[in-house]
Amino acid sequence: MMVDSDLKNPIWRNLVLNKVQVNLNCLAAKILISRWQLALRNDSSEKQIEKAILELFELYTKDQNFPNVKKDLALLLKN
Amino acid sequence: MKKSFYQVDEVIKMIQQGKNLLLSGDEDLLSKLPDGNWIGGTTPYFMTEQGGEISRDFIMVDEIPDSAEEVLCKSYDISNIQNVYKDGFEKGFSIIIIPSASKVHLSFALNANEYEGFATKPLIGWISGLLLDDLNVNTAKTFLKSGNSESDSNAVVMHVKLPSSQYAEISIQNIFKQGNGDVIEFPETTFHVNEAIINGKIKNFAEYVKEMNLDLRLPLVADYSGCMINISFQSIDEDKKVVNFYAPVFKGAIYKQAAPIEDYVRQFEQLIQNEDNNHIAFSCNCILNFLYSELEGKKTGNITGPITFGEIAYVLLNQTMVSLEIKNLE
Repeated sequence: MMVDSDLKNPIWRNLVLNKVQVNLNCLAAKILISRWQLALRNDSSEKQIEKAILELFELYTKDQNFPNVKKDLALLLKN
Repeated sequence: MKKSFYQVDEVIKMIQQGKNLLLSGDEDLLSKLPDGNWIGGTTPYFMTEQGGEISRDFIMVDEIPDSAEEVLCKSYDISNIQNVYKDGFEKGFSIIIIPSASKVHLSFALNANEYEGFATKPLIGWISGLLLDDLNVNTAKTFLKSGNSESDSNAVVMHVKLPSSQYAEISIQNIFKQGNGDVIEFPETTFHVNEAIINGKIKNFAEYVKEMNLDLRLPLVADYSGCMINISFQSIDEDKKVVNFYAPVFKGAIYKQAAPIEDYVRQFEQLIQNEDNNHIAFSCNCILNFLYSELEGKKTGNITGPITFGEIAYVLLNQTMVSLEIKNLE
């Protein structure tokens, strides 16, 4: 179960800044991450990065009961 | 296999029974339909139970499952298409049909990733089209809840609310992978390319395509975090030295041309054979796949659906099949 403190996990920042490659299952997340990776290449202000992280976190929180999302969370939050 | 191709009279009965329907077919047929809970788009190309078919005599029907708690049909123009994600139900999915070459088509292609709520709710759909021979004499259409509602400018959307025991899952079936050729980037986001950055060097892209004798049936492919996204070649304007695409290339994305495909139908069969297709509520496949792979008379597994002038799985896609599944949460 996702909790608010999971938002602080550095994995979200690493994903939107393309610092880590994870073999994700959730199609929406893949597309949202790529959208933000492109956008942050033009504007990598902290404000934008935090917006990206929050959107991604909220997507995973909202759908955390879906099988593909559960698989992704097991990969992303294992550390 | 579930039947999907119907005569007009049969579809009229389904509408009168109050079914929630996604329809595709010829403009003349769709315009005969009564008011009801349906959205429709024009195309004469289909993947039916018997294989790929061109027809102006039948309507392809996809029925929204009875488990849907609420259905809302809406049209969107250039002033409000950016609300398409925001308007969707929190638990459910939305299906969109957009007329090919309309302003809404172009706007969605370029701007969807900026819409409020982008990718936070499942959005699947297709770009409506028409017989290729009629491209210069007619326009693609959409229909909203009535045969009198035809529009060549408005997108139509069916927002569907699912019970908490179910969820919608969209998937993209793309047989194309990035090849081993040059790394291609673009200095701007556009459908119409003048310059490209090839392995770090700026070049006129039309000249590059000609020099390299690129097979234009093979799309450019970008890797979106493991999801392959195609951009299909439309035409080359030799005089203006511009390459036109069926979807925009995005500044900052890294593209490679797709690796060649030897046997398209076989590739598709391999792609879908291991998947459980029993929960597919809707699917569509691209006209370019239909043409280049000569799908008329051939099947793509047991998946049926309209053949479309673009597909939508959160964003505009080219040369893919997209599918929507409704599954039960355990």
